[in-house]
Amino acid sequence: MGEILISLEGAGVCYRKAHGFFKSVRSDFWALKSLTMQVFEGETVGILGRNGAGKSTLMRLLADIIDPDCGTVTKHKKLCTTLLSIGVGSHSTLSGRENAILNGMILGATKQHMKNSLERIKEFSELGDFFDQPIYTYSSGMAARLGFATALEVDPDVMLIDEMLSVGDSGFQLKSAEALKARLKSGKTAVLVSHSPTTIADLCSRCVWIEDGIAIAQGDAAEVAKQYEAFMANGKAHAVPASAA
Amino acid sequence: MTSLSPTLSTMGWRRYWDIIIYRTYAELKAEAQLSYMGYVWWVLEPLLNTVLFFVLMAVVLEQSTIGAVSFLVIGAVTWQWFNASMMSASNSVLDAGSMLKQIYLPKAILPLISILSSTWKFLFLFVILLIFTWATGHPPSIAYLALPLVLILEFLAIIAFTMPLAFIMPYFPDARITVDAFLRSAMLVSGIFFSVSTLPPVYRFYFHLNPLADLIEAYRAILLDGAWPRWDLMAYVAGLSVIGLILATVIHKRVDRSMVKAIHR
Repeated sequence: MGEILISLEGAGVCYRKAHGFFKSVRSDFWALKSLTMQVFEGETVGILGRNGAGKSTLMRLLADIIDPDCGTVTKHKKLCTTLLSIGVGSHSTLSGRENAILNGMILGATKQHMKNSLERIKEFSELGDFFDQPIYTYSSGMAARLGFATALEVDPDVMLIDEMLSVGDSGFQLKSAEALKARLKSGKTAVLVSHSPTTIADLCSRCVWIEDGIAIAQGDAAEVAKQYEAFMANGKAHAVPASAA
Repeated sequence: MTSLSPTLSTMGWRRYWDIIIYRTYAELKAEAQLSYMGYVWWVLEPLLNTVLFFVLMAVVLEQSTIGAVSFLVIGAVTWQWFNASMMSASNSVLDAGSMLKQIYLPKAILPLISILSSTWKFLFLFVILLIFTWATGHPPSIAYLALPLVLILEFLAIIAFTMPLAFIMPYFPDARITVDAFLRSAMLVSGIFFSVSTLPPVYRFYFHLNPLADLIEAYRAILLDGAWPRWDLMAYVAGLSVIGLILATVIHKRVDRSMVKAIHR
């Protein structure tokens, strides 16, 4: 395992919702309560948890989109941490080519890098002549293919992946999943969110299991995935397993 | 310790600038393609506005000479620059909510994109406006030297008034309605239809508190009378803008990495 890149110490995030000017009731919701975990260089960390457990909020913390309301998030060197999103900030009247440049820049790459990547994106997305058509002419599958091929060209220091292993039809699904797996196995540092223990066990070296905004287990991916699976099969929704870390 | 990926720049100012330019281009293109006549509307819409103002002036104020047309057009076009920027930029951060939830961008980028796209349309119109005033007997004079300054002042004022609003909009979505009402009433008191000289002297002081009124008066002084703008008023506009920009910076620093939590869409 490499050195520590990112460490969270008791990090928590609170969403406040005011119920209107004339009502004094405010509901605070702590999506993450107190999370302590590390991301090491070169590893793929899995984040397991049910819907609403705080996975997406954790990704926003790691991607620097929000600051924690308590605790700390420390990056131990200058890092580009990017959530790989499909087609973020795309404009329907721009061509696939133009959108690839724009998306890539929004995801963190330079304009020059995206220009140099265009041919690879065109080839990977299998769009052919549609690459130079405005994307409002695309089917949703085509737009997803373009978005995936673009995201794949952006090479952040820490890749954050939120349930995005495959897009498009079955052929492209296989191809995109393979491309991403190859990237993860090549020693890229990544954080992968999923609610599928099989995916986590397959792709990750370590895993953090989040429930109700806290980490209830972390360690070897296969082991934590097994605990999670047993826990889910048991159907004891809110019980914390005895082996919790 | 491996170094930062060579393809990326977290330093980012260059990248942020590229994003601003690219998205401005995209917005202009999108707007033009959404209608059949596209770019023609950039000229046609303000032309129709001017006709409307002219009729209003003729009927209500009973003062319609052909000289009033250039007087009106100058007021209408420079007002529209502020108006259009304010309308789109104040909502820009809120409208980009779904993108901002997925990726970090300095929030100031979004109002800047809206402002640049309306500025581009304005500059295009402004050139036509200049040609029109020359054609109607107001040739360029030495006072034109002050024109870039007045343009820059209005640009700064637009940024200074719009940014703080765009940053607090996620917290007070009701402000959206207030902005529309504010702009409609501000239009009536910014001297698009009338000149300050028609006002009783007691009101002139209050009239000049409105920076847009000061700017419109300055454009008219330069373009119609070949006179220098009133420097005291220009200094006042600059001062207000600096206060607005400081306010914008302070708010931005405070909410840049928490604003997203307040966007519920």
